[in-house]
Amino acid sequence: MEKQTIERSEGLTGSVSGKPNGGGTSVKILKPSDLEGDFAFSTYDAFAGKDLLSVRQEKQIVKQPSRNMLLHHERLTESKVALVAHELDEAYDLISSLFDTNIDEVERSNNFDAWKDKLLDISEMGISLSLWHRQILGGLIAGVNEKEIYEFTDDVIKTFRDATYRVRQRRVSYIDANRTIKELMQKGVSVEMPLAIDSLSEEQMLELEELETELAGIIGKE
Amino acid sequence: MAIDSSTFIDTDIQIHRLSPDVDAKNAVKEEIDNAEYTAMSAFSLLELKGNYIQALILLRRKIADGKNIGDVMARINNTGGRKVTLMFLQLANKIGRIDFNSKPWEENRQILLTLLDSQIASSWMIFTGVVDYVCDDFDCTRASEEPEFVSNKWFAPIPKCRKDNTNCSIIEFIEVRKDDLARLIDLLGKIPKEEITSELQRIKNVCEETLRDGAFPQEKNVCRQVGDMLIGLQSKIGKEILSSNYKEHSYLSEGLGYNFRQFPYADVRSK
Repeated sequence: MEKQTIERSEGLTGSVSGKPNGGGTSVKILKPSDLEGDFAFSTYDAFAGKDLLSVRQEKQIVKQPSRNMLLHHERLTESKVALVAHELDEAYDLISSLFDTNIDEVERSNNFDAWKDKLLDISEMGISLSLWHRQILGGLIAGVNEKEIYEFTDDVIKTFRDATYRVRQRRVSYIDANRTIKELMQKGVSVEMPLAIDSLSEEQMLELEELETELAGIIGKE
Repeated sequence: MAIDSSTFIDTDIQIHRLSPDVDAKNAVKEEIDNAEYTAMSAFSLLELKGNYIQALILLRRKIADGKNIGDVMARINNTGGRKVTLMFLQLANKIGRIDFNSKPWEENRQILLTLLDSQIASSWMIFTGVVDYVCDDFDCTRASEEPEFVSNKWFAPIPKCRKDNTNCSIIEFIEVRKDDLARLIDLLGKIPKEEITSELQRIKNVCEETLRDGAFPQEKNVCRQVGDMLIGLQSKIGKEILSSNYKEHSYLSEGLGYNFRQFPYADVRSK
């Protein structure tokens, strides 16, 4: 399969399918191995809210999409992939900068917050990220949600850096994602979201009901 | 590790761990941190799959399918009920970036989906990662089936157990514990009727059927009806079981001969 190389900062490369520099695009049959765990080949269409290709985790079944659909998707994917790759590079630079001895405490704190924001920016894009990329990304977001840098040791921040590095890879496997989540948990990071609402206190219930009322207002205007 | 010095964590303790109630959550964390060793029954995974994970999957599907926030709320209300609605509100409330007022729905949706995908994909690890040992001494087939991601949708079915889709050893597991079952029947026959909960009654019925027919009625798919009993029996290899489920475990532990320690949920939770 021919690949077009996108230059990324720090000399790393990502790739997308298709012929380089607009030299005509061929229709090809994507293999399941090209799709799963690879953000460059993800077929998830966020705007349609569904996969363009059906992918099965292990016994994968790939439907043949139409030629037009593939061409459209390739163009869409190329730009999104480049954008996601760029954002991931920036996220990695930000978390890595926390170990730069030349920056002071204020800058360190700001960079940590910027890294947290960047994780959300990337997840907002959604498209072009495989399930295993999203597993790590979501674990990181949950782990640092409502937390400040002083709540984490350097050792934990190194684990955040390593996890960000892994999400930045073009391919992330089931094993990579699970290993990363395990490493975060072993460092005491709470990757789980508190969603078991079996019994809420009065205060918590009031808070959620307020949000529900607010939502009803927004829905009424839609 | 010495399994005989392990504190078994019951399914409800795992749920309290994921509670939005910080006080309850911290109390569970303290219990786990202070225990010499911790263990859980693999059967708890099945119970969590049938309850918590199924709710996450339903929520994920409604968010993925919804055209806008109004559509999502209507879909959740119609099919998931109050529990899933509250889960959705809790998820949205926890992430400061979620803003239904000024942000396009698509951006909110992608964040919600990322978080839910991560929670579901990591769920097995989230539950088993906090204990030192997962006890699966009757090799529950259903407990080994993690949620599966197929065609951009999550599935966590719990199929009925048949001979061709199950290779557990529940019959053998119960076979060597028939004396315990007989003692439990005897005990449950002596306690006031008003204290027999519907779960205790189901357990009593299954125990009686087992002794009458000579084998645990596996083919009738009764395991989930008697989950507390199975987890209690498994905990006998450890030091104790920690649970907030007093109504069942207080009698079951006496009849089956395991150590039950009550987690004082009502006292530790925020009022």
